[in-house]
Amino acid sequence: MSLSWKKGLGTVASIGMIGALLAGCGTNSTSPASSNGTSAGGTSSDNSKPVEGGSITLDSTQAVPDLDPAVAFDTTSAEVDYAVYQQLVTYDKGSYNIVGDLAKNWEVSQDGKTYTFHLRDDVKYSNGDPMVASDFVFELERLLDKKMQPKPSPGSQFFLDIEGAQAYYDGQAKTISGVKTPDDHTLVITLVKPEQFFLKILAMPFLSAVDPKFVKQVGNAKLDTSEAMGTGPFEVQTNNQNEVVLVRNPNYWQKDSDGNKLPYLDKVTINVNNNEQVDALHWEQGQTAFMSPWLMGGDGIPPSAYPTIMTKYKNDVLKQPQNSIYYIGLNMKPTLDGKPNPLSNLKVRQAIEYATDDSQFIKINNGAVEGLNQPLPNTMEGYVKNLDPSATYKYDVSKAKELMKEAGYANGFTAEYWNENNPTDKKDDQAFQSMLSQIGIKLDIHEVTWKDFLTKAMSGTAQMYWSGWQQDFPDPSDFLNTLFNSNQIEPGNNMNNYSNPQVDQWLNEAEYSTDSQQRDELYAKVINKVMSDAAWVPTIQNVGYYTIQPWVHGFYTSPVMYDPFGTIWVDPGHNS
Amino acid sequence: MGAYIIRRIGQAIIVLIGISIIAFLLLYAVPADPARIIAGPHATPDVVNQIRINLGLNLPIWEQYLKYMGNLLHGNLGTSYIFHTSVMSQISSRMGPTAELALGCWIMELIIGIPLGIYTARHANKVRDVVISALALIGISLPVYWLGLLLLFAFGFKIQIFPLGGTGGIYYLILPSITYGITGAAYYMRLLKSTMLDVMNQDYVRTARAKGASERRVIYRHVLRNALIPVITFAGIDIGTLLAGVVLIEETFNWNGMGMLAYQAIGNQDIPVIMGTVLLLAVFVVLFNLIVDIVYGFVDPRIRYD
Repeated sequence: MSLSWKKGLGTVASIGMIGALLAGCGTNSTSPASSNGTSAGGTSSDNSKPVEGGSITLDSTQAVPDLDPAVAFDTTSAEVDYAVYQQLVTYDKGSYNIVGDLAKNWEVSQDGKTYTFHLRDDVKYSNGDPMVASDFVFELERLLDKKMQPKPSPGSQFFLDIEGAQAYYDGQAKTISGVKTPDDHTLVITLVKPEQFFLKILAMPFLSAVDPKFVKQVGNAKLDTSEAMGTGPFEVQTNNQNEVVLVRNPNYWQKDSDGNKLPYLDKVTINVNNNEQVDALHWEQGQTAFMSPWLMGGDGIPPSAYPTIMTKYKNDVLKQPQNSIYYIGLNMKPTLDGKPNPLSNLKVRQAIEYATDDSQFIKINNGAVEGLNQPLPNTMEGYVKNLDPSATYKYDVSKAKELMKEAGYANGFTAEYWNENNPTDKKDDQAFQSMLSQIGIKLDIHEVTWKDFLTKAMSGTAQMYWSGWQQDFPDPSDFLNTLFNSNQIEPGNNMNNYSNPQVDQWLNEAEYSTDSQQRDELYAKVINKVMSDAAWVPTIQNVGYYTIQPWVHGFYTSPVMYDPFGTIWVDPGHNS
Repeated sequence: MGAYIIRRIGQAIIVLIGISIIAFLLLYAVPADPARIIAGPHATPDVVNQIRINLGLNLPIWEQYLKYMGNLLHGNLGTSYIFHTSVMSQISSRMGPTAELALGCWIMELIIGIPLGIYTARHANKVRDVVISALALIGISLPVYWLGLLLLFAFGFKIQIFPLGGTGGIYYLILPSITYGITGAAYYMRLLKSTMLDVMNQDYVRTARAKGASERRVIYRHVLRNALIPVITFAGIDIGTLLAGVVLIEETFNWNGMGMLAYQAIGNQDIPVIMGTVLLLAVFVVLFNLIVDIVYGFVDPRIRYD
């Protein structure tokens, strides 16, 4: 799983390399696609029975850097991993509801700390080896091995609340005491504290079933680059920087509602093609089966092709609000580079909030996004429908000027602003620069590569910056605790140095509360407080667009999961 | 000649070492921290440190450089930070496609540029020269990615006679070669034209004409041969640069060559791959400079190396 800090690597940038991953929790989606559960692209044979066989071709703007689910942390890797590997639990089709995947069912102890999973006994890896409970223990040990080569898991932190995990991680224990396998098909995991979102963590690709025998045979490096062995609908035939080829897993256990074996497709070829304009032409020409945000750097439809596709192919487009947001961070550190930082003044930050006209950002993005007024997307559990008046800012330049005057900056000042260098962000930057010039703030814009941007922003020294966040798993904790808890300043996620002991206390309390209502109340307090403190200027909420060929069926969107390769089928004669 | 070549190879090695030092220092001057980026936002400091150790980024920069050069002498260009595969294997898998593309682009430049250069020189200051020179100026000014997209749209999408990008045989090679040829040919045309005009004013050309040599013989035997030296120099350096990858063309046409590799590596801050591609570029440019210098001797018998 991974999370995306912002859309980027439009080429390599959109949510790019390290960009985004996973998803998670939530409420129900509002999109027609997800509210219907599924939404296939085709019309001609929607009522006909799925056809077995065939293949599809897709374009991706970037290669898969990590096949190993223990280390995969970007959207493209997750897209492939979800087709190849499976987890204990997953999300129901097109919804936020957690359902069993490799676990048939499970029980949670009354104190909310012990999870007992009963695993399916008919699951085999694509090489024919049976899947057993100890495979998860093996994978968890890999996740918590901080010396693992060629690189340790970036997701180890998600699992440190398992009993004994910290000791294992620190090298003080040889086993993880909180994980037991009473028999081959039962897995018991005990947590140090109850975690309401623990199942959502298990639905991320990190703790997938992997075949220990195979991993030991090929080694971690090959498992990450060219060799994969999962229980999912597909197996990897080829993975390199030019293409990924997936072929049907002959031992896949799942069947459709009519008892037909899944997957329907024999083969999926994903060509790495950085040029998203050409990708759009490939789709228009019928060479590719669909374009989705997971393969197209977060956009789904490349911005340059958006007007054409929405005009000519509107009926082939599915829309899925995403739990990913963009914002302008306002660094609250009193001094930056040895100079006093005017943004440490609340009135200055509030002036910036009032001077920002969000509607311009929506226009710049072709109207393909939604507005945002708080650090949670409106599709996320915990979203506050009615913010406190003190946490609400309506575009009002006079008020902003008044606040600047009260703050002692009637003549304005010059501020440093950082963003990634890509065409859409450039327009956003210029618009924001123009907005702030109205209240005397001159923005010195630094547009740099995505990697350079992250390094600068995560060091906590960027005075103002345009950034974003995409869920790792759908829970407010993943946004609010990660981005506003002062304990996240050092790891670099709380990039604007927001520090408020009261907010920390609410966040820490909510993190381990099992009472949903109490959590929502605590998160509402956090949201109102950070907004009245004007820590961020929330700008837009992303919407994912999927363009599906009419001859592709069984496709559905999800607010959480990736593209459903396992259920896709194509009309005969459309083997692209 | 032998001593000259040995001396030039020695110089080339010094140049390459210099380039490697500069490239290494530049890569470390950028603010991005590869370990932090690779680790992702939720990684613990332990994980970030371990990645730093795995990549050798915890060592002083001089030690990292010496280690890199030590490996280089053993033919080891290191391992990609992102894809965990050897840089050498990545480069070698891209060399074939890049060589094909480089040759295609180079031939197209020459096919378009040389005849136009001769033609405009022969008809200098006439309307047709002015028109062609203006078109050449436009050719030089056209951004290749724009022209490439235009050609892809026209001949790959609207009139579907060529593939919409991708790497392959000659069928895939035509559009990128034409794109590069149109923009690159203008340089050859202008260079050849100006050199030919200089040569045409030489006494021996006047003498040839006075002796009654045909215009064709004068142009091709006396003028062109002598005007080709700077063109050969340019063509030599050009092919050297092309062989290291044509980033914009490869990116536009999704041609999986060296240019694309370098482009992706820069985006990923994949230092070993960037170093590998930079050094390769340097090797090609230096090598082809050397070849050009040697070829001079054959084209112009007055040039000899002792």
